[in-house]
Amino acid sequence: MKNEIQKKKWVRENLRSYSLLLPNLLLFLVFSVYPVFWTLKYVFFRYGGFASGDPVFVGLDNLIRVFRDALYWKSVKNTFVYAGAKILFTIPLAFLLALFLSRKKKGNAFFQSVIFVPTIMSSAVMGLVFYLLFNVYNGQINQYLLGTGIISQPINWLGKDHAMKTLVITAVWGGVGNYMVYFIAGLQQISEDALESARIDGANRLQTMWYITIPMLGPILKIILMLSITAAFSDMNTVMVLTEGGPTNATMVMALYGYQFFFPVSVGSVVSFQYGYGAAVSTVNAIIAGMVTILYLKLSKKLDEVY
Amino acid sequence: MKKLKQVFAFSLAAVMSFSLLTGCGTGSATSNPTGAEITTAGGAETSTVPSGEKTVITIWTKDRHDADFMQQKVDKYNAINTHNIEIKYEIYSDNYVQAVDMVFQSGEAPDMFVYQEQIFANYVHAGKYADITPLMDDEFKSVFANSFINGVSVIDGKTYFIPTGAVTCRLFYNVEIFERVGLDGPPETLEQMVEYSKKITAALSGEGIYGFASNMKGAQSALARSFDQAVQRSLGINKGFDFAKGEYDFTGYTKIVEIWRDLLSADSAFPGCESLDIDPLRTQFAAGKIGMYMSYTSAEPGVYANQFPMEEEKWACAEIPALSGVVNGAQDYTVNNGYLFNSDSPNLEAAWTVYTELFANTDNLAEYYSAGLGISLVPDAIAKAEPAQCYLNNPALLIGDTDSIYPKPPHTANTDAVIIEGQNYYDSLAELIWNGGDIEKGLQDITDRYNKAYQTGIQQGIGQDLKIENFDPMHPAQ
Amino acid sequence: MKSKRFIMESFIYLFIMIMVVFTLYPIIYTVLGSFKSNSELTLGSGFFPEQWRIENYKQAFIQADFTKYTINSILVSVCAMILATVTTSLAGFTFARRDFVGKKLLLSMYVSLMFVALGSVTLYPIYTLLSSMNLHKSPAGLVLALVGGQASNVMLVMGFVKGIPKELDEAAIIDGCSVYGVFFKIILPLIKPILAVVALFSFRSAWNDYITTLIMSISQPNLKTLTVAVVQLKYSANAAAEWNIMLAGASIAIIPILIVYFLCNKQFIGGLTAGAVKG
Repeated sequence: MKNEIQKKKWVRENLRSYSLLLPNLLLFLVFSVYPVFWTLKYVFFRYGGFASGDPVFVGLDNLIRVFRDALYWKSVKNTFVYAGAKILFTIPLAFLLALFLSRKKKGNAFFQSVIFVPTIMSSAVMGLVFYLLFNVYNGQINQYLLGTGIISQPINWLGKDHAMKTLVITAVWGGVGNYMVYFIAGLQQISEDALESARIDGANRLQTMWYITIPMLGPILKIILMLSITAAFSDMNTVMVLTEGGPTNATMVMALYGYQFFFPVSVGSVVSFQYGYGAAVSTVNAIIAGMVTILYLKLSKKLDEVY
Repeated sequence: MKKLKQVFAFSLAAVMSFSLLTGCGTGSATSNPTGAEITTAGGAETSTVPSGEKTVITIWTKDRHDADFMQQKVDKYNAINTHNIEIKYEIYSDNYVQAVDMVFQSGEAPDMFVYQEQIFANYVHAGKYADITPLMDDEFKSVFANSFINGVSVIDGKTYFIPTGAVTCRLFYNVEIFERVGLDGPPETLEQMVEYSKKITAALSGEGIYGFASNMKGAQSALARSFDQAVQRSLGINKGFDFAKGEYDFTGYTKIVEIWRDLLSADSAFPGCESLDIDPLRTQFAAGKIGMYMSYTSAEPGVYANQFPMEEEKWACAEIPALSGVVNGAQDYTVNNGYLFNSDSPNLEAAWTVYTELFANTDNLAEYYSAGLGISLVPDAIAKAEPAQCYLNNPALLIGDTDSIYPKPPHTANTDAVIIEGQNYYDSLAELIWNGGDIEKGLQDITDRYNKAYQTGIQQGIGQDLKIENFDPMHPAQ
Repeated sequence: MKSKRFIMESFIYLFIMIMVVFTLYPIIYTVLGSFKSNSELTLGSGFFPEQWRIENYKQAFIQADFTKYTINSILVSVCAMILATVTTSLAGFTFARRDFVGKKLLLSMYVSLMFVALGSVTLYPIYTLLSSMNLHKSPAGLVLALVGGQASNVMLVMGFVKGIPKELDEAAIIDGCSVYGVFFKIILPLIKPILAVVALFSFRSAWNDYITTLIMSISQPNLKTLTVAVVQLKYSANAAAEWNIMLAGASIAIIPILIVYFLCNKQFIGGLTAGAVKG
């Protein structure tokens, strides 16, 4: 008797839980889980879309082709360069800003709000604005540089020599505010006592920073770096709008490379529908990003131990 | 109880907002089908007949440059036709190919599509387009005799569309600039083109005027309207495929790549070509900053008449020169302004009626030609038309003796059968042009990759051997 | 000593001002430029427009159909915000407080999928699925695609709920509340701060979304939101001659979100760190 009642209760309680969970769970299964399985399945098929007949099983062919694909590895290199440069510039700037603006000074709260603004804007829309700003002849940046005599010939910002730099500038613009806020939160967590005792012990500002502040920022720095690494691997909007991966694939990044086998990169570009290969590329992308993240976590754990 | 009420209110709100959304959705899908940018000339809308009775024919187009013209014709037809037909003319100028792909997938394809090479190639073998031969009468066949082109509009004896227009590529140059620098006329060889361009740049770059430009932001877009044609004329090879040998051979391109490197070098070309798009190029040409460039004949006259106004005397067009002036092949041209018919459409007969009365109406075609919206292939339309002044001044804009239609190379004839690994040849050529490097090695790499993809397709049984016996590049249409 | 301090402070101030100018410059360019004429923009001009041309906005709203896109943006973003908040609050609560069959499995799936980024190629199967349910042309389909699984927000809410003492729940249960009652009467009022964060972030994410909306609007151009429409202006036939319209469009796209930001400033910034710091 007791077992039956308990069983009934167990069923009822589970049903109740699932009834609450269901809306989100449905969305999750349909929009997050199902696509992953679809993609993993099509890695092993050749499929050209609706009109080209049924998918054909090709085993590991797609994956092998990814490893052979020079253009893919170029996009990997571009992604690492882009991510590396972005992190290299954004983090120190964000840290300095956080350092200066976390002090209780007049106006600092206002400056914080202002510098955070790029984060809330659409990277696609602002990408368009930067595209206009960096335009060779009509962009305001060249106009200004030429007008003040800093340069004598317009700089081809979106040409193959400078496109990556322009992308990084745009990315830094969009990212500094975001990471500044994380740093501020981290700085605020550093206990006043530790700083006090350091000052009492006679440490000057620089020493305090080096020995107390930076180590205690460790955890937040870990989070920031992890977020920026994952963001850099999947960021596609800026590249799509500013350079479309060009010129001649000079700024093609991993995420965009996989995307182009499904959808057009820009209006009017020709798509060669190769869903299986695109799925394979995306999977390899995810694996590479995953490996980098794991490597990073392992490294940061080691650093934690040192401290 | 309060909590029950809350739960109820919660879910009711959620359900209601949902149904509102889905309701809104299907509503807006049918109520306002015209794409974003069209501004209808008032609305000579049809009389208020209850919806069940009218046959609605939906037509998709990708063209914006003739949108106003076509919409006017459509509105007029809707008002006066006696068949109780209403036409819905929808513009999908962004991502036309993608939109067609998606619509075939969801099974809601329109009745008619404006012809576009890729959507045709993608779906014709799947039987999505109707064979319109049985719908034609003899008069139709004779009026449009020029439009039955084997391999293009006629495949395996079935006719799928009737192109009424044609497009080719030419060299556009600024007459004023040429006069200023002392050049008598357009260049007659590719080498001369380089020479002229450098001369212009040397003389006038101080004023911001340069000899040559190309919209290299999209390598395919730029080279497919210039480089491909130079190759066809000089080597008789279409898009890398040698029909006589039945294989891809890019190795003969060496000299032409060298010429392009020269053309786009700093002492010849407009700065920033690598990220130049076609419209900014046209703006600069209209502003008199560019000496020469190559592009399609269908759009340019309209562009310089309406979009980026330029005095007609200032620009002219000429044939694209060949290497050393020696012509070894005809230049390919493409057809357009054809309409494809959805084979699954329930309104095929009605669609055909609409087509013959409106789109294949020689008066309308003549008007289209006179308005400078495109070059006509139909003799009756040409006879009735008063060609726009620019066609009279520049006969080179029209299709001539040196133009002919090449058969399609494997990678465009059957896109599934030829899957190229790595970059397409346009991007590879662009790399060779911009980044230097060993040209012969680069061309050999392209050749190998394309042949490999071609052979793989044949081996897998989905590709065909496209060698043509006794292929004559001067008359490729035979 | 004091002068040393003064010099350092001035450098710091200078640095901050440079960063502020760097940050605000593109935005000011956009807003001011939206009132300029096209030739002022392309050929260069002074800082302020010669005449404040409101025609640019008129042109954007009427000829470029921006009224329709604005309505789309608002409709889609608000609905996405509601849907996201409702679903994540329910799910976060359930994960935090309830034990049920498969909880461990589901939890690990949520966490792992937060980091697996297969990218926008997943939109193809999503689109195909939506079209088989005939939702691919309606705003409902777009909203669903934009909201999706919300894995990270669910984790955020879950973390927050865990911070609420269980005694409150237990007291309510003793008083005869069902699990639904606990949710609505006890938890929901207490998680309002984090729900505000979820609402804000989902609104912003839907408003700013580019790729998903772009793909959903290929076959149904009426579905475009402001963000997509503005960027597509870059490809329009007349793009080179319409910089002023592009900037007007961009302003229309960014001003609403800027307003929301300045009103809810604290929640945006606070919300960002809520997950990071607690986690």
